[in-house]
Amino acid sequence: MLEFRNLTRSFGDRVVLDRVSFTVNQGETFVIVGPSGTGKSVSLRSMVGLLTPDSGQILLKGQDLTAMDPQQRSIMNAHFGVLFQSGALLAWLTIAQNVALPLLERGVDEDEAEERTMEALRMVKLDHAFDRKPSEISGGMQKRAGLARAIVTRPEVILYDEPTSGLDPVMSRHIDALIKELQQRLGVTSVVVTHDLHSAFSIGDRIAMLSDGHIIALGTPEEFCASDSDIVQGFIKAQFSAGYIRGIKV
Amino acid sequence: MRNFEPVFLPEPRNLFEKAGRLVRGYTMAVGDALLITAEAFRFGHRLPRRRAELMRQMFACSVKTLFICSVVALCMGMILARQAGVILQDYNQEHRVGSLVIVSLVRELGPVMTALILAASIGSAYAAEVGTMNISEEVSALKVMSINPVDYLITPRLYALLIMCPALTMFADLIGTFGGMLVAKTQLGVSPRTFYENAVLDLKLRDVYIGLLKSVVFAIIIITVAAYQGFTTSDGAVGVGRATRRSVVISFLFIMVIGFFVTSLFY
Repeated sequence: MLEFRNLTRSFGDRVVLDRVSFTVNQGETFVIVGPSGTGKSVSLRSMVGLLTPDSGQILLKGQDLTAMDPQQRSIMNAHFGVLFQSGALLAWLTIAQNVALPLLERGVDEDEAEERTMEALRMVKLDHAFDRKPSEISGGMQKRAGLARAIVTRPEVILYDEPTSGLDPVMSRHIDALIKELQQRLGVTSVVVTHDLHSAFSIGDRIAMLSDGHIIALGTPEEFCASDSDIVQGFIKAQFSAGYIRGIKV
Repeated sequence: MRNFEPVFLPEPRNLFEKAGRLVRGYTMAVGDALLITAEAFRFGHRLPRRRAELMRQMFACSVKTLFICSVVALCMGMILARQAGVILQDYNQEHRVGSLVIVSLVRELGPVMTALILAASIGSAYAAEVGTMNISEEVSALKVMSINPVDYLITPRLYALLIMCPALTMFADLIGTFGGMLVAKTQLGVSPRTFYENAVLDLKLRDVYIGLLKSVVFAIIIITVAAYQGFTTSDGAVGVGRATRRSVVISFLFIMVIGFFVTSLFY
């Protein structure tokens, strides 16, 4: 479905992604984890054309996104829905107007847009707050509104940038449950970027870890936990004391 | 709109390289800013879809700056009449004060003063708004939703300024003339009728057109500078403050310099 081929991106002398390659299969939830500043968000932003890689390819259903001009790229972005770290809702619009925006901009008629907006808001359990402004709702609600906006266009791939950052543990697990529920209901392919391993183990079908610009571990949660990399084990132990996660001993 | 990605270059090796890089940077900035404005003009055909936003921006440009515009224009007209009147009285020509006030206002002071007010109040607000949106990933969100940020954010603001800047200029000309007339009557003893007759005698329709043309050029300068500063904002709140300040300073600079060249072109 989505493939990174030898993707490289540097900022000055600092190589953030160094010939990174991986494939995201259709319908799976692929989680990229790693400490801050290891290029997780850079990979995600490269997928939707917000950053241009120095070299390498990103293929969506076999089409090379990096070779496209901005106009073609903009059309291809219709395949993606993105939940930004901050929610990125437009402050002067209500929650419903924010969610309806991509539909109205694509020429969907107002009645249908309203119906689909309310459906998306119901999915994220935010239909009661449709007429509120982003500043009038909590951080968790803003993320849910951002999620509703990401799914309202019925994209094939949903990208989540740190969906649980800045949220309390209860709200974080609630967002995880929501991501899982949407995944099951909509059957979309999801790419989640996070440093929260609770979240990664709870929603991920496969987990990849980025460190120093390279993928140092990639596999199912079980395979990930069994990785012999010290960095992976250190990262796991930093977030969990000894015990079990989804039945996997850590 | 192209992505403004961070550019990292090695330290310049000597003064020439430093100077060359500076010139290259400014040239690219001017080019990028003009491209944004050209793109905003190009999306003009989508304005009917953005009626509500256009009206919102026109309201912000007009009603919210009307008071400050009126006060500044009134004072400017009064100062002009007072200063010119004192000199004209020495030559018993105080009845000509109306002509001096209106020609100065319509040709130069009206458009420049209105543009400076709009650059300080509206241009800075645009730079801060777009800059904050850039920082908080709202601009990125628009791009990902296949919405061109220039089309969605800049086009309505550009056309709102193109309509309201000349309208406010005419309003400022009128209020300034009224201020001049007030001082002429109360302090120079020139009747409003004499003031008006002299004013109309020397004011040509060409002056009005050129004044309005200037205000259109100034509107383009304000939006070009503000949009570029907004879209290239980085470094959080400090960056937004920097973009806002730069937007005002650069707009002021270009309004004065380009104002001079437009004047030289026609007079």
